[in-house]
Amino acid sequence: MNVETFSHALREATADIEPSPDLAGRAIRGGRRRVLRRWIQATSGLAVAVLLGGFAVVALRPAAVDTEPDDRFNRPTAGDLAGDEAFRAEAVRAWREGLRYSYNADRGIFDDFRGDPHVLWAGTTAAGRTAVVLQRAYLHRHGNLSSEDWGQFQTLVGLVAPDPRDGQLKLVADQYQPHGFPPPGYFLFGPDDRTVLVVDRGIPLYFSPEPRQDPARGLVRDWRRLRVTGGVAIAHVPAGADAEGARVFARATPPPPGLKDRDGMLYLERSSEYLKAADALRRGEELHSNLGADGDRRLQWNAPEAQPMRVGQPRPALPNVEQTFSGALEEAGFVDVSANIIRHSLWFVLAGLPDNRTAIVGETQEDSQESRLYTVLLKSDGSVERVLSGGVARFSAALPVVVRLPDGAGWVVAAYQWSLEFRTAAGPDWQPAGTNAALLPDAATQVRVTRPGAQPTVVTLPA
Amino acid sequence: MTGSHAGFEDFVNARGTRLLRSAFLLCGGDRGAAEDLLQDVLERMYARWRRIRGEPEAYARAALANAAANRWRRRARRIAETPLDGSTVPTVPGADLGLAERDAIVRGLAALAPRARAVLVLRYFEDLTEAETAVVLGCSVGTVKSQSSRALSRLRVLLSPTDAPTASR
Repeated sequence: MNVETFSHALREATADIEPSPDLAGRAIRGGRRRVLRRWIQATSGLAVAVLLGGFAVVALRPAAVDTEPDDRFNRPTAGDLAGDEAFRAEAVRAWREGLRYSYNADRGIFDDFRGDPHVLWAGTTAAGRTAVVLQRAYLHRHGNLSSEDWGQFQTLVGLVAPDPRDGQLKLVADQYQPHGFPPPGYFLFGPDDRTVLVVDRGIPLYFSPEPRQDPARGLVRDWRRLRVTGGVAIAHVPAGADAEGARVFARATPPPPGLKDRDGMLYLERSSEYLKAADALRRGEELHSNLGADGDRRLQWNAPEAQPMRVGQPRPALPNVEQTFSGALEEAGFVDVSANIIRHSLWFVLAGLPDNRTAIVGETQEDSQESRLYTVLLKSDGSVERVLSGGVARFSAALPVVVRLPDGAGWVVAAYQWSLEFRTAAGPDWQPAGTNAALLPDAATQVRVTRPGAQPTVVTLPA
Repeated sequence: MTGSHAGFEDFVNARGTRLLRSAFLLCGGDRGAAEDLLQDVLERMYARWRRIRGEPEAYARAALANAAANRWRRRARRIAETPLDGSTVPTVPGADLGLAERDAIVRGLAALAPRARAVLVLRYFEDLTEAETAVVLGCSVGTVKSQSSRALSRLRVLLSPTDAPTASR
């Protein structure tokens, strides 16, 4: 048994497993009980006992003693605005007011503050007057908090800066330390989230604004060490780069250009998302998460006949095209392992070349960045010869997929459910190339794409 | 019912089968444990539905895998796992997988450590890449590679030599 048949065996082994028809109903009833318990805990002062659906719920608030206080609270405020008492007071006010509309509020982490907030740093950044506020808090048992975070003291970190939309000084992000995450204090804020601020954690900090494609090495990043001043490090995402691609790692040695792991990665919090959520909470609305199709820029060609679309004469034995594709990209370094979400193609073109090689064309999207086309070239024995980056998938184009294969092997084009024709410089006549996808000769110069019931569109292939 | 409740219900109705199957494998074939595990995860998801970021199925998958990998135990009806210590699981040779072979594979999974089982389920049932599996389990790609390799080797011992998985990608 190889891994493909192992995968198949796992599917067969579960083929007759079906949930009860009431699965959703039971989950909703159970979830409501959890929400109610949480609400009771959040609104009760001291210990309460409430009979709830036959269960006794007890919320205890022990008089915990902070045995490991954070010595940063004893340090004077740093930064060029440290002496601006009015601004420090304004920052504390913004912190206190903003907490009500934080999407962390319903975790209960703001319910038991110990001591006063402290402005760790106040200074001028590209985003305007900025302050980092610390607040010691005790995290109680809470239904919306991981049990591993219960019963501990933490220093919460808030970032106060102008809201780029109205210029008002606000709490633009706050963080606590969920189990398994690094200490809080790593943000993207200001216009287009282009300003990076990281609170010092005693470990070197390395910044990369975005990955770049290296033909030989795949996706690589250029790292530079951030300078820590007054307890914070500040950097900027340059114009033209998507802030989504910015990364900061805290580690003893610089990350390699081709990342192999996420050890030491700080998950930069985007204040634009925080502020949108705060707006929704101010209006009393439910938060809309960026679930499902939000941020998904892939071609939504997810019908069975698109998995894969076969053109030419592909090798018959390729049982799992997606695994082959994603595995090859990963091995060749074309996957950014620091991405939070990696979405591989919903579709593939499997092109059998005249020399018995096979090309798999598909796309991959990391986080909310543009989806990129890739070609995995397989030798005649099925092993991976190389991976080629084909640029950005053009969703809105009449011909969304255009890939020129190496060695004069031709073009792979695809426009799902559209009929395709092509012609070469040698002759003006259009030659049929089928529907959905086609493998065209290298001499092809133009493709005519026709959607059912629509006028044809002629696309000139790049020189 | 609010829009978010409807969205949650739609999600469970659309993905419940797939998630339960994943939970079944993560629990080493303990159907009752799988149902309880999934129920637990879905209840938590409902309570925080509007704040979940990313794709909900990916969230649920990660929650299931981590709960199982961290030795989640259901509160009732717990049935002791069959350890299969030192023994092999008889399988039925042949191209088509029979009931006995399917059962053997599930029992083989049950004999693995929860985290190794989670790695195999994510890699070969959920079809995640090594990088994606590392993200879900919060470990490095190298850890996924080594755990996957060791788990497959262990399965080779547990399953008959001719039918054990032979390679990892």
